Amino acid sequence: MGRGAAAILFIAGVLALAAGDARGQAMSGGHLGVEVHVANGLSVFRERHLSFGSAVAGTGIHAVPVTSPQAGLFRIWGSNNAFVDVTLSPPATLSNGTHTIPYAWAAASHNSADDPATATVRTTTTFQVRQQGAVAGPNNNSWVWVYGSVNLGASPSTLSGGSYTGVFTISVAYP
Amino acid sequence: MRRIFVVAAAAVLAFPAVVQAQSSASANLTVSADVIKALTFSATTATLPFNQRAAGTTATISPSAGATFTADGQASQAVTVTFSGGSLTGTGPALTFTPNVEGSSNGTSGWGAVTHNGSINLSGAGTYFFRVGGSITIPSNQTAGTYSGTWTLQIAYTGL
Repeated sequence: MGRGAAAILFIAGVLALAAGDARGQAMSGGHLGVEVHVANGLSVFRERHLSFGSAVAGTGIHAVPVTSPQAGLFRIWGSNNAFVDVTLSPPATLSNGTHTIPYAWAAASHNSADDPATATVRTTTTFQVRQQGAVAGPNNNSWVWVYGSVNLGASPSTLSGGSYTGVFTISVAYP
Repeated sequence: MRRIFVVAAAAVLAFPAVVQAQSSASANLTVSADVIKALTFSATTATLPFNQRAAGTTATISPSAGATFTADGQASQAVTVTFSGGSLTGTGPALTFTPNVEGSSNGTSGWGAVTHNGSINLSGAGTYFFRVGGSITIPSNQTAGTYSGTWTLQIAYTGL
């Protein structure tokens, strides 16, 4: 569908330019420039969930750093050089249905490489990236890592065991 | 010229929903943590009463007559058991307490020896039962008096 829409817009631009040429032959002077910038469709993909692994209740803070393979990862695909507004909606807590544990979110982004070590740390839930894939076309990516820490409290702990989960949402849009 | 622009405008207007749908997107991921229930003991202290014993003998208390501890934690998890201490001090040279520890996952049957740095598995309910006895060998020339000390049994999840 996206490619179909881009093709229609491109035809419109060609027709407008052709009209300018035709008018130039029939009349003296007068030129009309038509520029159509067609952006690629914008997509965001979940590449990896964020997992804090196993930890014992009452053992305080457990962190996953940005460079950990346990960090979550989103990939944004769009037009090369296009600005993209990013909005993060992290969960405040993780729940097992009975108890909750606090989650302190953290995020970082990179607009040209899948390299968390050189990513830009983001401290707000809204920010902007500019797509700068190394190669135009299918490499028009930005990457957003989500990581952070969970707090399992102090000992003695009454936290029940089990899997605690939450949903981290990312929304992207062209400005 | 006018006609061409009309065509162009119509082309754009014919697909407004498609263009808008490409301009934003969203996705989500799961943040997860597997929390292991903290290990606890139902009682954290107990006394092994060897009472009055003669020098030159070995005082013994069997596990079944000794102190009991019940551990509680995450169901079916492996736990490593360690012992520490056991030196009894008093009016003469220190005496050594040699523990004899048995364990069972249900507390009623299947008692088996538990050793220092040994591994056990909590039951499906997350419990494990220990009973602790032991012995003290008293040299024949040991100075009379009261000797006491602390021996500690510790448990920790294996691999965490």
